[in-house]
Amino acid sequence: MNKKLNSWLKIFSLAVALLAVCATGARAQQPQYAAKLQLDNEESLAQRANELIDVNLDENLLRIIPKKITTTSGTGEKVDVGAIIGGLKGVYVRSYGFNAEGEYTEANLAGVRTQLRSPGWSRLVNIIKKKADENVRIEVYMMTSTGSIDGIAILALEPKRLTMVNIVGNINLEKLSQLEGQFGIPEIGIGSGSDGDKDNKATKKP
Amino acid sequence: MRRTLYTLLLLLIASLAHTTVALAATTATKEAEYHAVVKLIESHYRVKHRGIPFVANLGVKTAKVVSKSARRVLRFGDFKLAIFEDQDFSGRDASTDIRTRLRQTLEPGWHPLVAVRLEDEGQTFTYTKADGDKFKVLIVVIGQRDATVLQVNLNPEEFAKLLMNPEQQSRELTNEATSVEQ
Repeated sequence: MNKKLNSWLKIFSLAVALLAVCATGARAQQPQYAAKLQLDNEESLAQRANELIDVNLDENLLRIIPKKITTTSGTGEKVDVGAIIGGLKGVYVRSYGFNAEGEYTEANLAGVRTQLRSPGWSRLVNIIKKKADENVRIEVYMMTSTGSIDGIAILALEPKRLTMVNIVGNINLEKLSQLEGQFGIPEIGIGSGSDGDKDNKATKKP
Repeated sequence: MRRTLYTLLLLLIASLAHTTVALAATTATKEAEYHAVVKLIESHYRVKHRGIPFVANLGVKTAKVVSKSARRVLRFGDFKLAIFEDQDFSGRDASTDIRTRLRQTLEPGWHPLVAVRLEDEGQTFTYTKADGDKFKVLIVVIGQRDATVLQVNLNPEEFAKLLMNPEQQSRELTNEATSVEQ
């Protein structure tokens, strides 16, 4: 009887220890996606910028948003947010605004561009447009694997503002513009219905 | 047999004690993070935070805890609020900015949801942390002359609203808490 109880006690202790180890492991586990860019290499930009937007929505947070949810976009149209974000694993935004031109250079983008040259990424479109008499260059990159979209990167380069958006996960490209103004993503002007689009020059580069 | 039962009893008492201590420690940690952020604002901007008794005596509103009756009208439950009014938030420790210091204080335990610095509207920092079936949200809003540190518990529905429009909702939550407090 004594022996039996001792064995049960040992099993119980082992189970408790195992549970504790599993709990610690689960807490530390963080899924990694190839389409997630490292955007924090240029901390000096954040220090120099007089305006800053830094948004981090990871998979765990996106899962909390109900699938059947609609909202109204900046242009007043109804947006089915649930349908758009269904396949998303993360939304990350870095936007730096400066007082003067030339506060950021291509060197500040080198880290991100290196990542965007890695296998799987390809430049989807280059948009050059005028916004308040200033040239704006918008570069859209896409990562694909086995026919599906794994993520998107958007670089919006304005004379006094640099914006980088990284959307991880499967997204319908036609609905990409509907995410502008949602989840902290600034109104960059990717959509065909936004101001200044008449002057757009969109070029596809394979 | 008796010895084994005694060991089992001891084990149970030990695990109960461990749970109690862990719970107490967790609560203390949650409190500590909020207070650490309030202290950080004080040291970074060299503004002075006073306790409630001092506030009552001196008539200077720097930090308050809202009554239970006021909380009932809010869309969030238990919360903590520190208000810094009519103080100078332009001066700062030049070696590092407040965003970096907040990250050092709160990460990795808290998730940095949004950090916004705008010329006209000041700075907003929102950190989140899952807490059972609710979500803890720590919002720091720093203007030219005022600042607030707010910690709230949100249910998933309210938390989803925050995620969809992080900056605006952070400000609305802060406005809601401060307006009730007044």
